[in-house]
Amino acid sequence: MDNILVWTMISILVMVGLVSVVGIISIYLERKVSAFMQDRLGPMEVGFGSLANAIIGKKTFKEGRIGLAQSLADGLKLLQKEDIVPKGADVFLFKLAPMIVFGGTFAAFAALPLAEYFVPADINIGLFYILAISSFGVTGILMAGWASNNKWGLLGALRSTAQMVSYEIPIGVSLISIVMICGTLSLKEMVLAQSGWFWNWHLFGAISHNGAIGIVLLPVMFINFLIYFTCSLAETNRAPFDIPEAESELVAGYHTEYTGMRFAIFFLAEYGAIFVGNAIAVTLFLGGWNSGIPMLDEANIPGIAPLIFITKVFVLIFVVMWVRWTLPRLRVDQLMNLCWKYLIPFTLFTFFYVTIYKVFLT
Amino acid sequence: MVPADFVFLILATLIVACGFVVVFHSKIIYSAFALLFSFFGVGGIYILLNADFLAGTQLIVYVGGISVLILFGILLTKKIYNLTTEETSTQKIIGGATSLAFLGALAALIFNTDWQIVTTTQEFTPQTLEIGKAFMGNFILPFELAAILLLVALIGAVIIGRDEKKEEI
Amino acid sequence: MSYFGNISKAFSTIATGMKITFRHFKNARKPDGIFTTQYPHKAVPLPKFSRQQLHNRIEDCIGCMKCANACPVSCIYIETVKAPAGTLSDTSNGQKRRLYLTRYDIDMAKCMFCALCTYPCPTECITINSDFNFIKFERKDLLYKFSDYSPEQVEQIKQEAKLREQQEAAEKIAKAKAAAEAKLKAETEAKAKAEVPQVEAKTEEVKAEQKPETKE
Repeated sequence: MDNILVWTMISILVMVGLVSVVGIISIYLERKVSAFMQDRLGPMEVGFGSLANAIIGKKTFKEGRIGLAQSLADGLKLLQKEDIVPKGADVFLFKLAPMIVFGGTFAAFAALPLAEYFVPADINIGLFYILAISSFGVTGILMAGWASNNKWGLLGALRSTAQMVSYEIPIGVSLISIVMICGTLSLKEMVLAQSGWFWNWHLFGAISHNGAIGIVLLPVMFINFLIYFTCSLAETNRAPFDIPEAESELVAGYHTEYTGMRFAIFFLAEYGAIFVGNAIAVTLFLGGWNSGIPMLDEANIPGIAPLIFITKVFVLIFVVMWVRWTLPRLRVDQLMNLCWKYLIPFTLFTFFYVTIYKVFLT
Repeated sequence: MVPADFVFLILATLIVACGFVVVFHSKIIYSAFALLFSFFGVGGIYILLNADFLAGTQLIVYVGGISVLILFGILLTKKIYNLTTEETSTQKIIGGATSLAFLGALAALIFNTDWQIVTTTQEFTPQTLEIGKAFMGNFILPFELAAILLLVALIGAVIIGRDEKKEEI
Repeated sequence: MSYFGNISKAFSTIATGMKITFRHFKNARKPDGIFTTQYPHKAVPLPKFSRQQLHNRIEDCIGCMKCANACPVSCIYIETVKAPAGTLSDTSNGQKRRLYLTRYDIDMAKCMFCALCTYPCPTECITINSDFNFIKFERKDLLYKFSDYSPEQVEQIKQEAKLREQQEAAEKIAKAKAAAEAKLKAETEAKAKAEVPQVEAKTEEVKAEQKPETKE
């Protein structure tokens, strides 16, 4: 019992650090990935050594050559910037909005199962809780768009909210299939059900639950995973669903008027939301902290489980970036077409399929 | 005072204060946002009462759904967010008397009810299973009726919102 | 297009696009996969005769003003002081230098990189080179000073030149006086001849300094 308490305390601290570290790493990764895909180099100058040199004002350390500390330096720069509130803005709501957006993302982090004893808040309805609390961020976005008294901001906020609300339907239905197979809403138990060999992962059907017959769910689970992944892109306003932030039409969407640290908080919240979205995908479909090879899991190397989890999430984040730098932005009507004519029918089909499987084959 | 009481006080203050903002604030957008926080506080009360699924539902339906719907209504209505509601009250005496009478009735009800304070010693038990069983067992008919009602509403919305030009051709 | 045809087309086009971007991502490690040049560390060489920055080899400059006159935007400022013969060394191509260059400034903020100044130079001392990196934080730093005399030295040179000038003037006056006296003598000696012409003892003004045409 004491052991669990200590682990929980540690995991809370880890989560606090994780949000900002995830943001910083993702921003660096995004810049590098985008650069490489466009035959550029990306940040190259600001290594940790150069940053330390700049702070102490002497050339003591060896200068970096791949720009590892670039996003850290950017964060330091944003911290020092002037905090500008536009003249026509609603000051109270303007200052409240980033806190709500960040709060929604951070609250979602609390339920992520990094390892068996590494769940800061092991809630029984973890999945439901994450879906619920992330809807809180929607209101923060609306608030930001309205309070900045900027037409781009308001348009971006409206688009963003409409998109997030409508894509919650396919997300919900596609996740229900997994919930039906597992019979639980607890993220931890879902991961525990996927331990063992990698074919126990829900991406490959329900083998761990019902033995070999679970393989009949394989195509459906693949479709579910694709649909969930697509919708999580739309939920987090990533390309090709980035019409709320469309740089070429809306400047920056709902955070157009934000500068300095408030802008940085929006940025961190955005990357945090991407992390949460892909973490759910990893938890539900890709086996969470399980490496997929039972020998490795049984070796009990300390700290390997969260590492496996975070690695898997970052592989998915890489795919998110890869998609972003490949596909052009959708139009609003195309967005709604995709959601209502393709994603929702397919999720309903998979839902039906899984129901039949659950009722007649188990 | 146990910590739960303290949390309850915070949540109750949040709900009541936000309720006051909803009623009395002159800007309608503030009222909408305050309503949202009020809903959020109610969700917190549910968690305090060990109703975890209900709290999640409260968040999804009220905070993520209804509040956003209200906000959308406000933001999409032309010029409504610059509107300030009228602050002068015309029927002070009748209105005041009605509210006082209502308050008195409520207070009398609250003080005369024999509240049964249940102290649970048992561990927190998840409720999703019971709720699911109830939906699929005793309450299957209301559940299915609600589903049909929602489906009818959905189809009705699609038909109303559909482009009518095609029918003319 | 049919419903499922749409879906398969979406998948195939997305796959094609993502294959292309992934190939670029993979090639980024190869040396020719990336088109960025890390500029301050590595630079693409400029064409051989690209015109970027003016330079003057001041030890070869004779202060002839030809470059300043050729400049369309008048960005070359020259000030010279006459030097006594033999004090200055010859230029590298054997020309005599007779002037102290107390000022030879080029305003690169004004320069339009036409290189017209380099053609008339008799000693080929003003050249335009390919060094394009002359970023300065203040505009006045773009005024390049080529004269190798310090302000004190310039002051001294001017003083000395003035002194020399006065000396020369005095000598000239003395000479003129002597000449006039000699003439007078000769004239008095040859009285028989025609009327005595009036001798003007006026001394000629000597231009010691050659002022540049343009002032700052």
